[in-house]
Amino acid sequence: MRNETIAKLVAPSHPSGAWKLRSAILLIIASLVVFASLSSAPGGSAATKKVAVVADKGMVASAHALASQAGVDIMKAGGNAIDAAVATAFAIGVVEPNASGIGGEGMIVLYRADKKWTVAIDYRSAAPASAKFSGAIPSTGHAAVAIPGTVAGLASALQQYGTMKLAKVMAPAIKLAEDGFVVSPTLAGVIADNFEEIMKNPPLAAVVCPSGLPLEAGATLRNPDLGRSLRKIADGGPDVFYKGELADRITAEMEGHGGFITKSDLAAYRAVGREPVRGEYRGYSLISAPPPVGGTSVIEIMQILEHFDLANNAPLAPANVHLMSEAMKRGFADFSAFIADPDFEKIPIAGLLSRDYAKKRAAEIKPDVVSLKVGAGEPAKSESGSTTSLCAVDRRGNVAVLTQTLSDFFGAKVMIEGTGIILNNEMKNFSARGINAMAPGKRMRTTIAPTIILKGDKTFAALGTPGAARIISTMAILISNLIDHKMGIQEAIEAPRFYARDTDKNLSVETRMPPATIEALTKLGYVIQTMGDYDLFFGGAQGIIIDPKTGKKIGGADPRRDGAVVGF
Amino acid sequence: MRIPENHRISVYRILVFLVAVIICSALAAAQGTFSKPGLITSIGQSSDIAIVKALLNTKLKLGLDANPLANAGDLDGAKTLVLVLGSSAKGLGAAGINMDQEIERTKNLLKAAKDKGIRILALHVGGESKRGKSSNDLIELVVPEAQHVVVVETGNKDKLFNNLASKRGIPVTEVPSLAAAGDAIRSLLR
Repeated sequence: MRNETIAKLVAPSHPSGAWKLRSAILLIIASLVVFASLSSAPGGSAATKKVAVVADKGMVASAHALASQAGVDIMKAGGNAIDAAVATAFAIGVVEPNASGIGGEGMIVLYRADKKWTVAIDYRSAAPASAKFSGAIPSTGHAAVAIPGTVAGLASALQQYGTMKLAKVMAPAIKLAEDGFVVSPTLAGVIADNFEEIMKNPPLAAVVCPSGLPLEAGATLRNPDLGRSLRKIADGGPDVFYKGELADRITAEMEGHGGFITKSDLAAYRAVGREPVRGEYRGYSLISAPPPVGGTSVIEIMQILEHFDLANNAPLAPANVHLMSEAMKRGFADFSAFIADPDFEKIPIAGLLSRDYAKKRAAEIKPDVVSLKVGAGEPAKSESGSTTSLCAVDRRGNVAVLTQTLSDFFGAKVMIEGTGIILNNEMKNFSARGINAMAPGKRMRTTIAPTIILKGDKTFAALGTPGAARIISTMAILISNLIDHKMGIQEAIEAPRFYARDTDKNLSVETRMPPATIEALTKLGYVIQTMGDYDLFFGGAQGIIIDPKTGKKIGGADPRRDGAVVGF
Repeated sequence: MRIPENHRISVYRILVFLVAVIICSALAAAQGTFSKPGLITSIGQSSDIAIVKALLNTKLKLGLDANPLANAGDLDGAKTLVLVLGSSAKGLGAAGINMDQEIERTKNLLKAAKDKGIRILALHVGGESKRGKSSNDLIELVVPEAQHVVVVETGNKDKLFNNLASKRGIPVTEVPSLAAAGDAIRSLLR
């Protein structure tokens, strides 16, 4: 009897068939549990080129490791997310000089965890009062330059919502400009791509093509003139740029070369606090950058997509790509028709963001018909409202996400001699006519859309991307990847991208799009344009999510650019 | 004094060997040299042709003609054709052509160069990020038809250029930088 009892407790040396079956079932269940726990972790489990970074206290994700590190160093020194974001923003303008800087502009969206409120600061550039063009607005040269907003915007964000002095948060950027940094393959490629235009501007060429040839990967890029300019701003405040010595240098440069910016333009410039735009997507709150930029369109696209069951298909299933492309086209059509500077134009924001309007737009979409021509909708009837992106989250859950730019890479291809400042070419983003036509002091629209996602009153994610028109489509894909397909942040960022808009007959895709999807979409009537494997065309996103269970920050960065996450 | 038979045979063999060495050296030298006038053109319309022009003409003063869209009819008088490899959608768009048209132009150039006895120097100065599918397609088209390849090492990490060239015994000069690429070309051009 005793031997029979023991035999029941101990695995038999020659297991019966029933025992083997039980063991197999238990093994399968255990495997599924492990797999599910890995998959549901916000970090995700799919193989990725880069590895998501996990940290407890604070995190910064930006397009360059040195800039991310600058922000984290500020947080370690006691700064909050806004301090960190401002430090990172100044630093990225040094180490990614082609994509932003104090000669440029941007938009920041902030979330204060203790007060649970959000605010956006519009530091978009503005048209000089005397700007006038008889023909097309040029994309290079001094006339292409709009009044820069970066210094005003970042200083305003810091002064209102940060805890540190400007000199402290600018110190990392100053050091990088003075000491130099190693040129990455990405930056070397951008310099090479813009070589001919760069060589037309001797001060710019002296910095990025010092021997008459483009700096190559591994070389050191120094911009001591920029370091001196940043130091002057750090010591004297933004007035140095808008009213003082740097304003004098900017206007002298303009006068000598056919530019329009005057001292009174600079003195009159203000960063503007605005209410972010908000929407809902499958139980998550989307908070994004308001007009004159693209946040409204991103939210509109997601609210259209809420009417379709994307989660039921694989992320890149033909049905999903088609539905998202159709939604993108409507979002872009409305962007073109309705988004402009709200200080100059009446914008039906409530209508564009209304769920009733999204439902009407969704009803236009057919699962088996490709829309070749998509016009703007009628949101008023539903009325009841060369780029880089970074995000910072601190230990208290405060979030700062911003996208800033020079417009094209290296902007107007003009550097002000002796200052190291590369000027934007935002003037070309005005339209010839209509709601986005140029007017003195008006801010031109662009597609940037830094976005915060909340679940209830807790931060779920902070996201942003550069990428010109593809910003809107890429943001929609990222949000769907995270919410519909429960991807981890790194997987969501690296997943293959595509782009469709109202004015383009092509559907642009990365080569990693499944062949079966491409075949099905081609049969449906799409004209597929294949780009690279991880193509810069689709932007370079950065994002941070906060694990709702553990509070850990998990950051992802884009291998399409030099994105890097630093946490502590 | 009469030279012994076996010594005469040894001297004869040494002389034959020396003549063979001289002939082979001359042939090798002829294979390795490129002559002027030369024409630089782009294969893929990337901005690298502007860099190559600055390198070879502005800095090294080699005095080569340059035409990013050269076709077979532009080869008259040229003895060397420098093909700057690298595809750019932006560049193709600016040139008003698509990839199929660029491939057709490339094939016509290669054939015309071969028919006219023009030696082809294939050059790639772009980094790893410039090695997308479109660029690779053009590289695979051009390299087997070249007489020499010069490539900056950051764009050859997968040794594609070596793999393609070795099948036809085409020499590849891999260099660490743009400046070194210029020096390599200068040494090849006589």
